Amino acid sequence: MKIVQGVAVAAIAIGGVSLLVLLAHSGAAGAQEAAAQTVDPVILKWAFIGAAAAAGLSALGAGYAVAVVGSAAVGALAEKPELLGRVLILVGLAEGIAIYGLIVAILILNQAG
Amino acid sequence: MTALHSFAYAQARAQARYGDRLEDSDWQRLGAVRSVNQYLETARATSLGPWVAPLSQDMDHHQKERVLRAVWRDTVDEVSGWMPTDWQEAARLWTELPDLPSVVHVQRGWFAPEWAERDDHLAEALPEAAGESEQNAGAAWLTRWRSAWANPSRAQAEALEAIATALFPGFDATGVPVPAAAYRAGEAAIDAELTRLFRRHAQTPVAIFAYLAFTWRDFERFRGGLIRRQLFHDGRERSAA
Repeated sequence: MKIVQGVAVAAIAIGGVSLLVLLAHSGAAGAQEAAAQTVDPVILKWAFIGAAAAAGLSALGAGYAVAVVGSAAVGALAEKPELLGRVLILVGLAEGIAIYGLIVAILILNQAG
Repeated sequence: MTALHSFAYAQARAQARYGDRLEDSDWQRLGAVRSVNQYLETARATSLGPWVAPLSQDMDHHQKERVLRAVWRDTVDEVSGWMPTDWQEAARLWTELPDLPSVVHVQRGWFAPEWAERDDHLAEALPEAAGESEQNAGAAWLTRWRSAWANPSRAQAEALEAIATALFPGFDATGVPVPAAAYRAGEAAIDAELTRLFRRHAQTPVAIFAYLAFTWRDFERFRGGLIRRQLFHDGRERSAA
């Protein structure tokens, strides 16, 4: 579980840092960039890298988490089938890691224009 | 499935069954029952139900023993099936635990009892034991179990050793029986230690073997209670009649 948490945190952190860099750049550039209506290619490059890392790494983390939680869930259901609803929530939480990464990626790409 | 996934699966199943274990009050209620049939009926209503299911009231104590040994083998086979392939052999060795006293009996040069020959499993195991020199069967079994471990980490190996100590609580390291008072005093400590290992080493072989050790202790307790009642309480009633 520590590996899963590590991968997920790394993915979200990379995405978050990329987003902050973008926001800072866009704020500093201000009116000049607005006038030019173009995005610096370096920023664009890092925006794509950040978005890809956020979506990709969080998907990997989620896949790993679902594999472990899913195995445990199947074991729990074999003993107590009445737990299906609760177990689905736990698997959904693991899957949510991928969605957080995807949201961060979308935010990055939005900022990059 | 990787080892991690297998242990996650096994942990969930073991955890669920651990939660269903009988508590002290349940054991006390069971202990207060005097006749065999009532004992079986009381146990049937608890989580011991699957062990009681193949037993019927008209069986004699040898038949009940034979059925219970088969039930134990099925229980261990099921648990070993949850584990990763390289740990399954170590788990399957636990099927031999109920046979160890009979093995010692034959190793001492005594004849295999008649009832043992009617048990297919024992009928196979005992002639092999007859050729061996007398030894501490528990210690020999532990040596084989240790050699079947699949490269545990150092911490896991230490924890597995602690489980090994808990398995034969009535004997010291050399196989000599400890005094009954010391044995009884150690009972609670063994349960506490197994609980600690089960929780501390979740999703590792240690937790699954700790669960097996719990199950073995419960099985012995149930089996002892049943056979004691069959031999002494019901036997006394029959001779009085």
